[in-house]
Amino acid sequence: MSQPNTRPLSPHLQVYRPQLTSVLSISHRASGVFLSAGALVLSLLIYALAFDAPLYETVRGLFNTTIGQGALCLWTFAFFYHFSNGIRHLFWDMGKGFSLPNVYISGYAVLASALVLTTITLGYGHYVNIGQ
Amino acid sequence: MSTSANKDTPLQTPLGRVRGLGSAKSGAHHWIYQRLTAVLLIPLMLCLVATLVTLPSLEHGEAAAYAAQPLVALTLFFTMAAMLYHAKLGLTVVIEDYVHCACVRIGMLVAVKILAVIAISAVSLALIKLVIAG
Repeated sequence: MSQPNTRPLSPHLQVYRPQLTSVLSISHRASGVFLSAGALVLSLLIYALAFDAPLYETVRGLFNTTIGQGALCLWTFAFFYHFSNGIRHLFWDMGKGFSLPNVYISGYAVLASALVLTTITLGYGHYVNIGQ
Repeated sequence: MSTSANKDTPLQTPLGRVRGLGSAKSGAHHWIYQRLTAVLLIPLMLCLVATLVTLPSLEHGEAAAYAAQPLVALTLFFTMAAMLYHAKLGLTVVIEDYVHCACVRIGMLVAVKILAVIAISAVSLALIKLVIAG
């Protein structure tokens, strides 16, 4: 414990071919980290809504740039991915869906659900923006 | 049965050998609150996304007036509290798993905790102001 361990540590991730299961698993964490940044931006927006109107409009303006719109699209997809995969995790926590075929079925279902929900949300948001 | 395991300490009962080595009785709460906030966030986040997409305008005046309604402010508060706590718990696990240098890890863990507290405080203050002023 106190001596530095110089032996190679397992698992050696680089020797594994990426699989749906492992890619979805690390994506859950990556999207979670990305969404945490979104939670901070949302907090800043609510703060600015009450105390700093120019700041609120500045941030809103940033979201109307190409990069801002891209970030919003990424955040929307990251959210619906994390949302769908989170529900998959809750089923696992109840001990359901652990067989390998079921893990793959639910994995593809999560991807499909994330894509569909993102498309609906962005499509509706776009439709609403055009309507203004 | 487990005679080989008891060979070294024949006078100690199995219970006596494990006593004090087990659960600290508080280790599970991170896991439980991560799931509890996850379940709460399912309806709350769907509500938030639907609101953001369907509001006719997110300009300052309209958005402030909308958020100033008590029930909206209360829902927004619970959403942000559950979201920030869920994020804090998740980031903590990620940092504990991937940041190996102890000093950096402790600094990041403290920073995440402080940021979450600052964010929820700012949100609370802002919502209280919006409701009272609105």
